[in-house]
Amino acid sequence: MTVELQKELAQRMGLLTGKPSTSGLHIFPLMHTARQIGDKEVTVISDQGGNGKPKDGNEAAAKPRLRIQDPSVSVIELNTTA
Amino acid sequence: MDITRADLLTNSIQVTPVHQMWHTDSQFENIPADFAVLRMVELPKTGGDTVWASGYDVYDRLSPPMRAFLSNLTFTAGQKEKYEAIATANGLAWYTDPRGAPENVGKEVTATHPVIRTNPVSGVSVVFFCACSPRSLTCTPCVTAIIWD
Repeated sequence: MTVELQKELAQRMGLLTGKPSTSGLHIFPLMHTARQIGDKEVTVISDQGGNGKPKDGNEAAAKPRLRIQDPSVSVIELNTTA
Repeated sequence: MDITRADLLTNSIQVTPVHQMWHTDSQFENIPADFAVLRMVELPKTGGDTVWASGYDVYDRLSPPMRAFLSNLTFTAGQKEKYEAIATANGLAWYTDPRGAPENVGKEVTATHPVIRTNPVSGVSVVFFCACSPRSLTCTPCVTAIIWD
């Protein structure tokens, strides 16, 4: 599978399961992902930290793995609502 | 930054301990993701570092009164301060245009969601609330303790 096919799969699955027509693929709010493979809608996760050597021309493997420092969710408030 | 296995298992200043890393992606967005599609490009010889848990199973294990109680709650998830710190430290730019939905814009990266969500297609309910760190909860100690149990 290619990156483009993978994105098409995600988009079609979303549309077929009823997501709004205005919704597409998520883009991470910090632009480290764009520097990884040049596609804002794709996030590369690597365990190579800062030591990895770039593979096949991209720098994905050489990027620090932000998620280790940065879980995607922090609950900051629990609300009681009607 | 060099990250060792030991760092992941201890309370290092630089990394979050693995047991505090449970999360659901993109809950900081007003319109969070339905799902993620992952593809392994390079497979490790052993192990791997992503473990999945089922929010549906969590819901199924709850008693009916607890399900009813949680169904009236919402939670607010936010990453603003953390992301701002990371952006500053690493010289990263923000992407403030729509991020997959018109409602996901700007730098607030904070959103409120129901603790229990029901899949509109399957009708199956899930515990959507997922916190990485109990210290980030600011509700009453009683409610916090119940939910974390």
